[in-house]
Amino acid sequence: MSAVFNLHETFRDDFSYRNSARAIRRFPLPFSEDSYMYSVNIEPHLPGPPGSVTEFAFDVDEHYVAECRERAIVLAAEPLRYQALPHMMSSQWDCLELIMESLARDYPTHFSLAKQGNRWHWINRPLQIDQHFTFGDTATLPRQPLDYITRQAQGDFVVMDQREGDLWTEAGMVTTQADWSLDFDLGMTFKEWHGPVPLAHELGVFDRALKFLLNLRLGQPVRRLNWTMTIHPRLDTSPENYPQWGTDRATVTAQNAGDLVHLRVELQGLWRLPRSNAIVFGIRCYLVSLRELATVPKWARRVHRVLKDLHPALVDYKGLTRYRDAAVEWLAPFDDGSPTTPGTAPE
Amino acid sequence: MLVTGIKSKPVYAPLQADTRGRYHLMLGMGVGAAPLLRVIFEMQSAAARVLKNTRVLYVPDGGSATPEIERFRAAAVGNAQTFPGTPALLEEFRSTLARSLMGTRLYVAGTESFIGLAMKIALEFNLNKDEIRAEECGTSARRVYCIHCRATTENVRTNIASCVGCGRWLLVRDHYSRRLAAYMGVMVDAEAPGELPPLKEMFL
Repeated sequence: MSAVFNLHETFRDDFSYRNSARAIRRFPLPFSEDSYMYSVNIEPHLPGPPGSVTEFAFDVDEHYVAECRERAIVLAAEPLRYQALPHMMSSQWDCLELIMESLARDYPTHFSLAKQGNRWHWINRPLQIDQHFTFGDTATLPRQPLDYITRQAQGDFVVMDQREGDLWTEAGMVTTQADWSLDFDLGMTFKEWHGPVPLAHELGVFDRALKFLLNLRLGQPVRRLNWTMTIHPRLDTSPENYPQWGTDRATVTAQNAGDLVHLRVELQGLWRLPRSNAIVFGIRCYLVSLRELATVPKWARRVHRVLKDLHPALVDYKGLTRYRDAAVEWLAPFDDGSPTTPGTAPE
Repeated sequence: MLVTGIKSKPVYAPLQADTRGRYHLMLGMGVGAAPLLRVIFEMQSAAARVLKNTRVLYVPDGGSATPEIERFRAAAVGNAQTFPGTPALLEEFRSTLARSLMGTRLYVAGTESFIGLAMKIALEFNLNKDEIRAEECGTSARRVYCIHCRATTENVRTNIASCVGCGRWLLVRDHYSRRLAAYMGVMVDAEAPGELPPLKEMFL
């Protein structure tokens, strides 16, 4: 992809983030039918069609530079949004290798990686970074390896150590999250971490997901989509900063919902790491306003139906209580009741 | 709000004598004395010799100190000590773990907060789950970690509580961290400032 980056867009203050027509068409809609309930919707992370968000291991799109800048803003104010327990260093190098190799392979015009034994040379052209370092030697990088490389990547990253038949959340870079806290959840087991999610435990979702992930193989990554909604294109909807963004939810009306309410989709990818046997969990966030979404007639009808019939426990958990009705009302004129074609394609 | 519904709150093995252990370390506070004594009596009948290798650290409730510590001593426990408060006991617990021997079994009896604080230290020393037993008794008041300012408010008995650090009214979420030994507290009126739910006693 020869991405032209939206260099100046923002995810706070004036919220100048916008999607191009092309970015809207490739948006990963998480609803393959007109209703939604949790499931273990895990599939192999195989290359998708050219131009799609799953064409490559990590999707670099028009928001890349702006998202990296947004991450730096968050970290400057709250350094603990990145944390790693001491025994996670080997998995940190694993992550750095995975991300550098993938980006250099998939986007050679933007990134290059040259290796002479353990002496690596990394170039990130969009961010104007040129770094020589020794793989495995932390002193040769300006920051810890996971911190260093995830400041140059879109989306959050959580590293889970595998032991005692469980996955332990023990390192991460989390600045673009949907209301969960790495600082609070660090050190938790897989089910502790997902404790607050309603319904899914009872459906056995986490039992099955954990069992599946414990057997995840090197070189066979998997992915799934998850979603919620956010007011304004705000990436940092952390519980830490809830006092800053909570009031936004009370400002939505049926008149302004098209511009304020955004569908927030997470493309979650999971990779087994070679040296540490840990798993890295990438959580890449895509935002689209209802107005942008409604430029695709099938999607407007589908999202209208999903929201209208959403299970009350999910409305509550996803924080939609105050504005779901306004969003449904804004979408209603786009839904003439005609059927939608199966699958998520724009039609 | 049922305690059993909290997926992130650990469940411990019930308190009973584990005579496979070579050393037995017991931590108790207040009414936690009763379950610990129950275990000690079990040991007396099963394998009285292990009592020589049993140590009790105990924080009495105000006033009733003497009878309980006397009961531990009367039961021929090798070593029983009282402490004026939980922080002093935990400090001793920490230095005990630092020089602890293989084959130690840990027994904890007291309030949820007391157990949580003891487990936080056990976690730092990488004790295995099967080396630890715990029994909750007494108040279920919660320690609440403010996700906004990171201060911890102790002894929260109500659905919402004012943070000791930043003064915000926090909703006590049913989400528990062993590492922090606390529940998450999140600003309750962030969406509509000043709109507070009625104060209710919840964790008694």
